[in-house]
Amino acid sequence: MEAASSMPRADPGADRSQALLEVADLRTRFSLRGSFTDRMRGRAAGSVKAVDGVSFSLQRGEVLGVVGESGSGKTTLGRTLLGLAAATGGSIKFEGREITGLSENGFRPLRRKLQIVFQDPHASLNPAMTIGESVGHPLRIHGIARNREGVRTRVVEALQRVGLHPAEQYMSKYPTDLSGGQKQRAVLARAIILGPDILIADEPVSMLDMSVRAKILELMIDLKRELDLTYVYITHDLATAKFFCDRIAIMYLGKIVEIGQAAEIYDDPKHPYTVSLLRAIPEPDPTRRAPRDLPRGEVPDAVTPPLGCSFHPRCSRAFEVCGWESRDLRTLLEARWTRMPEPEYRAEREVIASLDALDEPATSARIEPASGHTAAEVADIIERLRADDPDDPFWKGVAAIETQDAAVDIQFHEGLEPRDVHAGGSRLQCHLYDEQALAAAEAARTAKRSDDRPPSDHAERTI
Amino acid sequence: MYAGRVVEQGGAREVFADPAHPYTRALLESIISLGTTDLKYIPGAPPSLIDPPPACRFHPRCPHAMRVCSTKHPIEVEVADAHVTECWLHGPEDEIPPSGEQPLEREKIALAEEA
Repeated sequence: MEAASSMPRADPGADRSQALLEVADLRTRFSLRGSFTDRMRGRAAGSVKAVDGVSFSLQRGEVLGVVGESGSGKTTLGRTLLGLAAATGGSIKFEGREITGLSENGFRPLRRKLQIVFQDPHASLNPAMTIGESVGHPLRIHGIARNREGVRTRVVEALQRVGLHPAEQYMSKYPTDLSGGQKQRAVLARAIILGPDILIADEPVSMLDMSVRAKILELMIDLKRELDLTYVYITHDLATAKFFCDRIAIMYLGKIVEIGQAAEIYDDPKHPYTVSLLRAIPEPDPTRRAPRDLPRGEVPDAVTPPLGCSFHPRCSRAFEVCGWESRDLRTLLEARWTRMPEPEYRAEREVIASLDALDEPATSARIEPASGHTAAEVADIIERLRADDPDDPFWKGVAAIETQDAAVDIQFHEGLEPRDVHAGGSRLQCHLYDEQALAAAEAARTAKRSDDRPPSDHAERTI
Repeated sequence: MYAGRVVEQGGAREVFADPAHPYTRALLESIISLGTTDLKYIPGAPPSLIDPPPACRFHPRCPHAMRVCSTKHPIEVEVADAHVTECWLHGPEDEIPPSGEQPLEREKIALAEEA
């Protein structure tokens, strides 16, 4: 298709040396309401750090993939970039100009420059408006084309640009008359009609048929080239992101844990989370077995994220300084009990008083025996837990286990907050690549060895 | 299933490993995986079920369509144990009229039909 002359392109006279979008330490926090009694007592209900210190820059013409599981904060990041969710910290600069903290009126002119496409095309279109009305609506809102003919010309052009032609045939239709792919084309037409610079595409093909996904992705590639668009492609699908993106940012619990050129992310993933995400991609090949070393558990609660590195409870390569804590002990113990036949579970469970104290995140844990039982019995259960899988990374995090008269005390190594480090061409947050963290872990191991008595008994033990 | 008909049926492994119907093959090829280097898809859109295409309902979009496909409804054939398909490419040959195996000449798929 020939590029139509009047279709607005992204700002052609723009300075290409400057990043189009510069995001620094961006934070979006949602306060929780809490229960009525909490509020009466003046107790803080806490907050969800949906976006927690995200930094990246976006060059004009680039496609940045933001990849993560549900709950990783990728959608909130997209919404914050558009001002649909208020940033609670950090900065977003669009063409060098700060856009956080703008009022609704102040933001409105920017909405011509920043557009979004959502996952569900059906929910994105007003069922009471024809396709022509929906696609032309932004022109009316922004007061760009006031007369009917002007709007109509632009709508026809936009519809044809997204492959809905003859456009006249689609203008009078309602969303229910269109297939999923056609609806997403209409949504794209509405997004490009104002000539935006940046299109944030939040799972734009996830709800579409396999046979239609490729078509919509191809359309988006064509639109990018013809209209000089810049994309933020938000997805959980690493396969489409690999095909579509220049750079990839991997998000986990509100943070970018790894960001780099797409080729490097896929050929040489560094963060254990990236590695496991790539391994988890299903292939439509029945002879291929599902990998067994996927991260255990699920994305943790963002209200009280794990100490240290948020990924450590699920990480197969976690070590001393990754942030081991009391809740990890409870998870491990309960996982053991889940695997046991019920009588054996009951026998162990009745030895221990309550595990609820472990829910308060701490680098030490105290487990008390139930009445009629002894701390030695509790210690015995802990040893059996270790025997289940002595190589579980959890045990690296345990600095000492002491059996007291009335309880067993478990001390964990102090965890470190991951910070940005560089490896290859990528930036990531992982202690495995941080010299300082590796040195701290070595020191922790040395201290533990000197604590162990007598040393000769433990000479062969690899810690 | 395509346009209201089960066009291929068999064990999951068998169908994925050795798809018999061109529609099944095209669907599998359109999956985007880590190895995807160029996008493949099925041209056109599923037909209207009010007035579906005659004979094989997939023939207007099928890259292997033959003359018989637009004139005679395909017959279910067993391509392997417990693996059946409705497609003239798999016969039965004695049911295909003379010169029915000639490639189908047809107009280009209208862009308006694009999904």
